[in-house]
Amino acid sequence: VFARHLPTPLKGRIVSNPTKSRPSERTPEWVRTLTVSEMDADTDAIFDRLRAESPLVWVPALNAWIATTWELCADIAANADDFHGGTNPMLDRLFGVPHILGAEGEVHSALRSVIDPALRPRVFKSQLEQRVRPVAAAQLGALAHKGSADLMAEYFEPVSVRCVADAFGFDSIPTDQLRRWFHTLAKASANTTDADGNFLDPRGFDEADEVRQEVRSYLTMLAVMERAEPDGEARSRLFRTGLPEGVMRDVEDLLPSLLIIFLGGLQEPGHACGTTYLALETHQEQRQQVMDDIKVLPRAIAEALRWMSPLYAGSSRIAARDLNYGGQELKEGEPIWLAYGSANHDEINFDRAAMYDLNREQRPNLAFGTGRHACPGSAFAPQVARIALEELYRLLPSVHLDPDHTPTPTGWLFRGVRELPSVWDAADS
Amino acid sequence: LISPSHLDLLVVERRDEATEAVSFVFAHPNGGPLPSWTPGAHVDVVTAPGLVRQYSLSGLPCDRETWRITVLREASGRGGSAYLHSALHVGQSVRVSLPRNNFALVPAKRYVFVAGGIGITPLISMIDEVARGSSEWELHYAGRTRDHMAHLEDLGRYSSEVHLYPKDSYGPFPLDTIADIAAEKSDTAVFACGPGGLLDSLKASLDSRPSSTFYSERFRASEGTTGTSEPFEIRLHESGVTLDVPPTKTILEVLEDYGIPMMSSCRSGTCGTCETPVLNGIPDHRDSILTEEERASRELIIPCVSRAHSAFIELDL
Repeated sequence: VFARHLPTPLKGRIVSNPTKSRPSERTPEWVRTLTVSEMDADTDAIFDRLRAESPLVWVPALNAWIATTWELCADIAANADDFHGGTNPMLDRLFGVPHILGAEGEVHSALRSVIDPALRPRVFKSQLEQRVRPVAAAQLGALAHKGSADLMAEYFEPVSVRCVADAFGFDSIPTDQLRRWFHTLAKASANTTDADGNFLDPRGFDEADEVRQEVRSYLTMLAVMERAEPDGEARSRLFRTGLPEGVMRDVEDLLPSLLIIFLGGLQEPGHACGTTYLALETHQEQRQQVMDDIKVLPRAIAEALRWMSPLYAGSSRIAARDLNYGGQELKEGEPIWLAYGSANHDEINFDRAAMYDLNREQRPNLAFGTGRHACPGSAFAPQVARIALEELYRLLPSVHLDPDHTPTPTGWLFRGVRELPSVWDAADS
Repeated sequence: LISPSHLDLLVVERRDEATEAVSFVFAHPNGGPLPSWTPGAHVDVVTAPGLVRQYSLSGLPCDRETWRITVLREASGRGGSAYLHSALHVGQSVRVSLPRNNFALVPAKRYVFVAGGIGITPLISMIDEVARGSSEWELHYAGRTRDHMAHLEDLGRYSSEVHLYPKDSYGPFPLDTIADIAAEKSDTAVFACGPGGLLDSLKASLDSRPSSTFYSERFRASEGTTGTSEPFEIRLHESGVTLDVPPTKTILEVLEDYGIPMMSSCRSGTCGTCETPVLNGIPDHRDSILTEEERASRELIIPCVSRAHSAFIELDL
């Protein structure tokens, strides 16, 4: 009876006849000529327009689809049947496979079972005061007399890197070494493929491969120690979670996903700190509200991550098969970037979405994604941010952005400020 | 919990309507007519001891002998719907309230009906009523797949008025375009039923095209809904204090406002930092972190997003 309504249920009224065309032929002219540097520089305006006019669109400059509304981002992230974990040749080459971003099914569950426990509130809650606060206080103590600093490079990032590494039991790796690993991996991650599928720089992974070897050696050492004597804590969780007693996980199985943590995870609490600090320093009434009642800080952090999501569009998926989706025809294997930062500005979900307002009606946001690939650090990162900011405002209450060097947020993949030049009354300390 | 004006009815038919959707037909145990009702009405059904759920009547008012409800099994819920699916069979007795109607038809020259998933249920009787008259109407009905869309058979007697949008072959529901259609002619009433997010989006689309009137009824999907919320009370076990949770606030915010120290991170139901033990009452789980077992136990709640099915919920704080 209903056959006549399908497969074009709207009888041409709503959907124009899908054409058998390359995706780029259905891309509006202004998107066709869009460049990555324009997306980096003018992110809010470009994504506002994409959301309003072309919520799922093929962007030639990215050689990928991009989804920008709440509905599409949430749906694609939650839809495991049609969309698989996002990866690309660069990530697979840099980290090795299978890694936690691209894996699905049992392999993915196993990798999450290694990464997740250290970052679970039930595990870390009791450690926060013992481990995180002293790190923050010490880092700040070393700066306080200076009266000025780039808080991103000298406070938020070092605290972040140290605390995430410690949570995983990597407390014997010096902070400078962690930062070197991060910067080397980050540099190599720019070595993407050209139109023919060749890496831009054939030698572009050499230094990262050395880092991979260093991490492998370090993990091998941990494995030897763990085999001799289980520590019953972070190290045991890494090597033994989910396995029968007496069996240990192979270093090679851990390596790709831990490299992702070293590149993508260690800095993230720092970026949550930086974005919240930027929001409060550019909204003085709300800064005052936090100073008057430090208990609203968690609200300020959650709202900052909605307002300017650090992982703005850094999450992706792969079409699992040919799909007629969102009014577009996706081909199996095509990548889709999920612009969570844009979804978090979707007016359908958030009134006056562009405004930073820690008192707004609270609704879930997509700063950490959703579904099986949601960020495992969604609990831990805001706690590191909370403690780092509590210490900052407690020890240096006069701290503020240097009015002569106000930073400008940039970036569509990762959004935020790279530096936070700040000054304070050295007498505070 | 149940109004005194209830009936103990007999299940006379049970039918698989779609993937995960089952209809139940109720009749008076001694036969004879049931109380009359109007299109869009719902009944309270005691789905498990102490647990009452509302279901739209999915049959037709002209059938005076039986009432029909259609129940979706909620994927992540262990509540009333799952109980009905697993435990209610032909020949069993069920306690049902008299029909009430918060979603009644209003006169209009033209009707646009919008259904998301199981939200089709109240629209069946409304469409029947409208189709008998002279008004123009059309239905836009979305579901996960065609197999998930209940009552396609009932809609089979209509033709060009019915538009189906199975998501797997069509993609997201084109609400903007439906709003355009609604705005095409004056004196159009839009009746929509579905998850909160869909209704919010549709309302936002209609608001920018102010020529139609919007009426809606929400049902609560167990996952991902951020739609309207009923007020309820929380009781704090340690102090015995009772606090009101209004529709616009979360349990977490109410606790923070009262001065209870709460640790929270994502405030989006994904991280579990604010997890709190429940001593009494039925959580309305809206998080994406608790396991099925933890949800079923009713012993934990994620207060940054979850609410209560019961009028109060007692927390171990």
